Amino acid sequence: MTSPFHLLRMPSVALKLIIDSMELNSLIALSFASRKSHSVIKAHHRKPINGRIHTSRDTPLVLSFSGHKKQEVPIKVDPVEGYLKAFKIDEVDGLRTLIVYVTSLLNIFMLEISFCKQSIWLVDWVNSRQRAPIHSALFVDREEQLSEEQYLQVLRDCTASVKKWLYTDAPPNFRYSEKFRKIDCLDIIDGKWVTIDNLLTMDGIDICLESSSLTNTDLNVFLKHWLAGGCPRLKFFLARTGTVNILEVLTDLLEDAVFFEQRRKYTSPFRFTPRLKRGYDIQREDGVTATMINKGRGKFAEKHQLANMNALVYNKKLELKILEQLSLTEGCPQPSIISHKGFDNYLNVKNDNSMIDLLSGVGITSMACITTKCSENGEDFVSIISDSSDSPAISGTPGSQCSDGRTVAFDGNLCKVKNNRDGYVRKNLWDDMVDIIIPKKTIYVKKTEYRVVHVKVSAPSIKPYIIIPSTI
Amino acid sequence: MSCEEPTTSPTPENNITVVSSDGKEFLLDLKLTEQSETLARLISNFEYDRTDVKKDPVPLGNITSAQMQKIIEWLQHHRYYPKWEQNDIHYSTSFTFETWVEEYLNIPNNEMFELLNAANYLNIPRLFSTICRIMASRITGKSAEQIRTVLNIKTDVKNDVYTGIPIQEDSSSSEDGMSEISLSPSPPPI
Repeated sequence: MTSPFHLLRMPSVALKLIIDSMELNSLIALSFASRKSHSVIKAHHRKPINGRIHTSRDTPLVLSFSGHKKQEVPIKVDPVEGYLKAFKIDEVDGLRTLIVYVTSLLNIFMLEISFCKQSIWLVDWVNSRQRAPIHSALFVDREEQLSEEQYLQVLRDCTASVKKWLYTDAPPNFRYSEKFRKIDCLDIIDGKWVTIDNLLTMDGIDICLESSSLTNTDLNVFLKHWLAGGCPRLKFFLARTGTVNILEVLTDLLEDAVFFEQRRKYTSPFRFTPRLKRGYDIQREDGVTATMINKGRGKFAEKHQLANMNALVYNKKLELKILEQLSLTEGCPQPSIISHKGFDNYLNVKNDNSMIDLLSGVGITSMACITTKCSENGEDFVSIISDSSDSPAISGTPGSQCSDGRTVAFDGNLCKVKNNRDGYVRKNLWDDMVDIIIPKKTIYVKKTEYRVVHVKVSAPSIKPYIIIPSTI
Repeated sequence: MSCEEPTTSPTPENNITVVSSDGKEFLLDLKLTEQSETLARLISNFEYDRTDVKKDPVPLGNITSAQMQKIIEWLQHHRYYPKWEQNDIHYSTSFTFETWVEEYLNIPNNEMFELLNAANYLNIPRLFSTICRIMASRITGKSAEQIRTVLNIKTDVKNDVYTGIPIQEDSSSSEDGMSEISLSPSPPPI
């Protein structure tokens, strides 16, 4: 079996199939075999790859390119995640050449970088090379401390959209005055510089602050912020703060807090599975629909400069009123508005934009929504209800002329009831609208029998956990 | 995927004759030809699946009798396999093969090359994909130098990319006329 196989003379379809079947390190080795093999790979490789390049101080040698005798530039394909790892490349030009070569050869982007102090230039360089943000940035270097400017650069300029780990000591007296980038997982191992003002600007799913200097009062403020709709995507928050006075942390919240003793487990999609024992549950209950509508109403108030537009509260009891109304119709009702006993029923609303237009009265305060399916055509349709109001709109800066008992909500456009946690406006939840308008769970309903489809969010997984040391 | 292979002898009603490039005739069961999209389309177009249609021998000018014999062996083995799914072709990275397949393809590289061309010509996707994956598996773990040997690639890189060490150049390369590539390629399109 010593006769050669003329790979590069293969029909294009065969070449593509072979190249797509090859492992990454083989592709790179093949690309070094000849210029033609390089251009063939570049032309035919289309299989999606999560291209990631890691630099670190470790030195496992896995594969070196043929002909590369003076300095090893090994590349390994991670057997688990399938990404590239490059080791022992201290020279900027060498690493740049390698990255450019591999990403160009395989038509891939860099999705993830893990870097150390020596390769911090990667942040700006990657930003300048690709418009798409990288997926993850992992800074793991506890041996050398970053300068204030470098630390700031990683925080501010690194465009990672999913995961950012900062495993290094922060410079002394470091302060950060800018808004945090939206990111799914933020893990800061030296979080003593993170203030409550920083925390309130974060938008993440998993936030971990080791060595935090947050006080009990700060944590209380953050909890209230979360209950009021702040940090809406948050599922796990960890702040290692040292001594904690739980009563101070739960100031004004104790009546809603439920003590639990049993062991709990939270599975993070990003890192670890913390187990929690003995703590307090505080569950945020809110209506996603109200949120969505409020978002639209806020924009509406801003666009038309309405000074007294109220935020809506989702009232589940009103769902029954819609059902009552639907029971009077045969099959699927035509799109219609029916006012009855102080409430407006909007039956068979076509889309979310109509929903916001219909609920644009400044004085209304509550609403509900259900999705039903009729047997005549099998289609889902949405019906909504709100209280009626004839309050005239007042022109002016949104939120500047709220009626008595109401105050401007934190987004500055709507008026909400004072001290009411239900009527808040949640930010950045526009995507949730899909779940409301086209609920994934649909219930088949015959003719005039209707059932409610869930529109309320009270997800038990969305609970803030503060990991508190054993002093509790 | 294991299948039993009941013995069936072709009869004039359920077979066609194909003629290899060196003039040898092969009697092929119509059931077997279903695995070849080229033959299946031809049979359908000429209605050779009907008993009342006169079936002329099908000339296969690109395939030798040795290759045809090898292909029939493949078709016989996979006679009762489920229809090949196109999706499996592109995303299967498995380098694990049936023992029978490994033995079947334990042939010199030049024969493998010819068999791949024949599979491509007759459009037998399972065989075609299997050979491609076998070839990919044979490249796996090899250095560029070893790959050059296995694939008969004449190097055309004048100097090593990083060190500048000259690499043996063969001006009689069969790959003359290829496009130049840059060793510092531009960023990939976004």
